[in-house]
Amino acid sequence: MSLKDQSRSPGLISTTALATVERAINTALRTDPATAAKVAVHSGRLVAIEVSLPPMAVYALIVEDGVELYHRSDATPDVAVKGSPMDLAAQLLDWNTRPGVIGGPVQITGNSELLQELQDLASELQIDWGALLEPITGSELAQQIDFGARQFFGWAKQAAGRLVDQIGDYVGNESGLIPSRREVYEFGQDVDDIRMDVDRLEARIQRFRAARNSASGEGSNTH
Amino acid sequence: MSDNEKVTHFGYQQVPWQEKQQKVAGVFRSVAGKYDVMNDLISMGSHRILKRMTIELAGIRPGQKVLDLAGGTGDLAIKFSRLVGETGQVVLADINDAMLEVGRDRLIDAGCSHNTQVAQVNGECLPFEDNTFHCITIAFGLRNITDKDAALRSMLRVLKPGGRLLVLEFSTPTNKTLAKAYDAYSFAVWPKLGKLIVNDADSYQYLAESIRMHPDQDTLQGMMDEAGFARTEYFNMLGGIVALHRGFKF
Repeated sequence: MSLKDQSRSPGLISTTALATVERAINTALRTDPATAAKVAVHSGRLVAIEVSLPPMAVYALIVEDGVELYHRSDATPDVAVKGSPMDLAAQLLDWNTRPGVIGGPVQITGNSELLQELQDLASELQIDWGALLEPITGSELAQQIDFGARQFFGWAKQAAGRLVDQIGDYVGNESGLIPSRREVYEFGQDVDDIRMDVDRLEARIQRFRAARNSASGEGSNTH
Repeated sequence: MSDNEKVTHFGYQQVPWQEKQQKVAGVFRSVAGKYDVMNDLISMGSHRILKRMTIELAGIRPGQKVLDLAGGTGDLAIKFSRLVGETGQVVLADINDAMLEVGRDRLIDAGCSHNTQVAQVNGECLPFEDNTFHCITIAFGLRNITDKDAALRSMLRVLKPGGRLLVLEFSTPTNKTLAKAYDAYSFAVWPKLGKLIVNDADSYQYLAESIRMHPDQDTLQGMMDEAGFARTEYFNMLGGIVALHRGFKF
């Protein structure tokens, strides 16, 4: 962290927001002890998430009973992920496995296996809404809410997936505004092919010139 | 003037210099068991956010040694323990045995006993070797120390060159309207909450009074400069109700 960064006062609102997110994550982890135990295996690891626009960083320190989030850290992260908000969302929420255009380049430095494991754990997390609400609503109502919440989030996840697909299809295929990832890949292949063709042609020209120079040299010797 | 004749403030009272320490000890013995609950109530939870901001400015790295002075129930020490990791060390220090007992139990419960130590110390004459710590924090504690100048000099001595001191403390609101509202709230509500929760209104009357007797932002910064700290600065929080002072040893 630079001296300039160190002199910036941490914002009350952003610190409160980060504390709220941290609390939400840890509360969710407490309702799923199996996933929490798997996360705790990585205790002591530091994950940096850097958003390019607006410039912002969040450091997640994994601890035995969950995670701690910070806006700044002087420690070297075990893995750092950097990109635009959309690209990061695509990477962390696993959108980029879908065909389409959402999910641009994300820069990952450090232990990418750790990031993959944490992503897998996040997708496995099963929040027990019933356990969260039971002290407030009683067990019967909590079970109903838990059932409803699971259905709702299952539907929401599917709907979000469909939305991403549809946006990808529209922007990439129907509107033609942005090339699809496949088109970009094929274009890259074509560029590579042309580059290699040009390289080969240049080599042949060099050989031809060398042969001509050699032939003209032999000719002048004969005369 | 001899030490026997010197007086200092204990809230709004003038007391013999030697007595303040015992009187402050009495306050914290009385409230130790419910200290965190009371902090949450009187600050409406904001003390946790202020401590988070302190941790962020502390810039702790794995392997470092940290002294959490007047660390009481160990809020900061637990976080520091996790940040310094297996190779670092955190000392939770307080002059008050009752507060330390609560803090020690919390450190054990949080699984932080492997890299933390608990020490009953007087902040005015810290029993550590010169150049020991990378960082010292004192959160809501400097106000209660009788000889603040001696404490600041002692902290400077045990800091490593390049190390930093962070003082989180009640201070002077920068807005007059806010100051009036805060005065009304603290003098009217805190003692009543103290009576209700820990059956001790006097301790929270002392808290409100001691805040008004504490040096304001610029005065404390001057004291840190005088003690020998470099690059001193402060950050006002909650409109100056609390200020975080920081200084380095070079």
